Amino acid sequence: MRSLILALAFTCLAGCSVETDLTVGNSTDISTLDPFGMFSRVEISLGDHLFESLTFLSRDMEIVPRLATRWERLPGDTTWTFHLRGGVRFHNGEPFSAEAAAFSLRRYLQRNAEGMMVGGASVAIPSSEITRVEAADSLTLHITTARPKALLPFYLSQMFMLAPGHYAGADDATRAENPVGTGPYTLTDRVRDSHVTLTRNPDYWGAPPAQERIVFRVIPEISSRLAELEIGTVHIIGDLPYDQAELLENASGVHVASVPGGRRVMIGISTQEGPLRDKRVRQALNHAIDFDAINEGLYGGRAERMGAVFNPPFRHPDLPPYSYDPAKARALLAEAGYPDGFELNSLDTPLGKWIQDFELAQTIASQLAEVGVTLRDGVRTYEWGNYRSKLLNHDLPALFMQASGGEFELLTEAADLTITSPSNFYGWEHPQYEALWSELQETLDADRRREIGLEMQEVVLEEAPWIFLYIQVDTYGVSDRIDWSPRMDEVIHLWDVNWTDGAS
Amino acid sequence: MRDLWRVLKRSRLAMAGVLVLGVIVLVALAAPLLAPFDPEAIDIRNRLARPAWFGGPEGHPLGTDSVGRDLLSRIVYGARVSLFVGVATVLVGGLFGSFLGILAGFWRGRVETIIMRLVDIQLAFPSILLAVAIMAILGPSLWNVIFVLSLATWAPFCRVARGQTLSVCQEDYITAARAIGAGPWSIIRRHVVPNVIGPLIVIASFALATNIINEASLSFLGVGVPPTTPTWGGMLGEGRNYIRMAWWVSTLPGVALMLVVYSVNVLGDWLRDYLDPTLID
Repeated sequence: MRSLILALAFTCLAGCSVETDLTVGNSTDISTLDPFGMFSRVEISLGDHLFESLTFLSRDMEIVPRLATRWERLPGDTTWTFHLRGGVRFHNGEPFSAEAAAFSLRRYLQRNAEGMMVGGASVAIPSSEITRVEAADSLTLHITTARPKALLPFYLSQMFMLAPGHYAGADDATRAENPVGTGPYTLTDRVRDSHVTLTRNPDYWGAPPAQERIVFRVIPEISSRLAELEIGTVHIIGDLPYDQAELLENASGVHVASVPGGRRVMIGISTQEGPLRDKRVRQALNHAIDFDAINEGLYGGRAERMGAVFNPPFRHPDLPPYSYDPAKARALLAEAGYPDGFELNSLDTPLGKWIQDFELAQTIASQLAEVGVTLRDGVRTYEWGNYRSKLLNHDLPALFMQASGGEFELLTEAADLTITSPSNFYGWEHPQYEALWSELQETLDADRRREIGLEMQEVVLEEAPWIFLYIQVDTYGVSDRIDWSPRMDEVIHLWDVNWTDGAS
Repeated sequence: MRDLWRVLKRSRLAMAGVLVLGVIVLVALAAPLLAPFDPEAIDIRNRLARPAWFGGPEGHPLGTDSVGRDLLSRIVYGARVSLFVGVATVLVGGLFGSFLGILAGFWRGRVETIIMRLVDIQLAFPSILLAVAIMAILGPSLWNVIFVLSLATWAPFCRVARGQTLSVCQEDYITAARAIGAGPWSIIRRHVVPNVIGPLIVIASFALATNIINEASLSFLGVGVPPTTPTWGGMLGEGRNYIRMAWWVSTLPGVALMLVVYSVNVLGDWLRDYLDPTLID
């Protein structure tokens, strides 16, 4: 009998040790491991473990050195010199050099020139703006821009350095399955819709990563994520609805961590469609929303209503959000020629991607119906993968749920609403906004940049390409066994996370 | 018919089944009169309210769901969808399957081979998986659900109808009918159908229960009836994220579903015993 118990105990030791790998539970899967295709925060979180960029956005949202150790602008302001870190190798053994960096940047720019979306920064800096990328010697890189680009180091924080020997000529499938970067972890295992396992890169140039293995799991349902967190098979879960967070606060061994995030949640409006072409109609939709009721019901009153659309430090300090005023909404509709309202095709939403997305969409639909704006097909739900490709292909109905992660940088956040941006899902084009955008790109004066940002936010609020909803407070459930705290941009980094109870 | 009622009264369990089912059918028919609220009216401030008899606010006897819709109203309207889908699929699938089965059993030969191989193919697919796949292509709608579940229903009817027809056709009275020149359709109508209908009714009762569950499964998975329409399965699905803080959202429609399915099954069991000649006293 005793030996049986011992045997069982040992089985558990062997079996349980696998479960103690540091694990993150995400609501959605990554769509790809292709460095060009990683947009969502879940993908960027994973990508940051596999790849590195020349510069790095620190926890305080400041640009710090990574694969570049220092950089300077040459006189004339359009050419930069980046001094790269020596002795760095890619996962496949190739050395990292200025040639490799030039190769990677050219790849990004080429993709961008072909009109493909390749992540926030490249969207904001059109390929035509960078005229030359050149390796001066093995660890010195020159980058020349058409016009002065004060924020070049910021852009570079979002372009991964790729191993030329692996990625030159690699087709889509190869890139999607076999990531080769310089990051602290290497890919061990990926099972679609289940998990991604990463293993410590033994040859990493920096401080050795804390954990031997880390796991990113896909657990679509919040109730399952919570249960796994509590039993200890998952150590970090995100996108916690506030009422579930309250449950968690009373549980033992786990705690709730939240940061004021930058994710702006809104209903995107297809501004080229029927009545929605009229800005009075779009304003009417905004006046139809009783956000206080939504806030009280869904978010326990903790959500911050969105008026100004950019994140700090560029947020407009005094732009009042649209008021809840059904009478005014009806008056605006009547003025636009729709006294009895009108019918739209549908309001689409992913299911379980953003916090309580389905509940939110249904409530918005019912509030719009109050002022006479009805939906022929109601609220339609999609699995996130399908919804994502609908977004990327701009295959969208009149109204659709959208949530745009915070970049905390004016250029990238402002770029999303320019007509040339692939992430302008709204078909929205406004001459004054475009003019401000052109000016912004050339302006180096910090005060003037801030002013431009304020004017842009006034235009966006007035023209209403969105039904403005709220700015998310990111809430996580975290195991007491780890020393991790969230970043404000929702990216989860695990290379410096240790067990607090001394486990290894 | 009166005879049936007398026998039914002897089984207490079956009577209970009839009663429960009868009440639910009445509720479904009178839904607009019984429901205290519009089942789709959202009251976000009042979400996840407890049932009134469980310490919740007055006005919502069974509480509210995740966007503040009245649960009682939704359950009452959900009964319509569940029963309608169940009955419609059994009618469509059952009639279609039985008809093909009788044809196969009566004419034999190539007709039989073709029909019965189709049945084999159909039965080789797990029906709910096939239904999910087809629904994913067709998109959510009530009529699509009925089509898909009918498709999953017809094969067992076809098999049983064929078997029964085969044995009936061995009987002397069929030979006699042929001898006096009765046409095939007339024989099927007068002699085959009355003799195969008993077992088919039993299958129909079980298929009804299965299809009510299957409709709920499809709605639970989000590929059934469009999400704003109240269905028991959809409510189960929407409530599962709240099970730890608001058990009533998915438990109560689950109870309704269980009651209906259990009643139908009890009746089906009883019908089988009743129609089985070896058990009749």
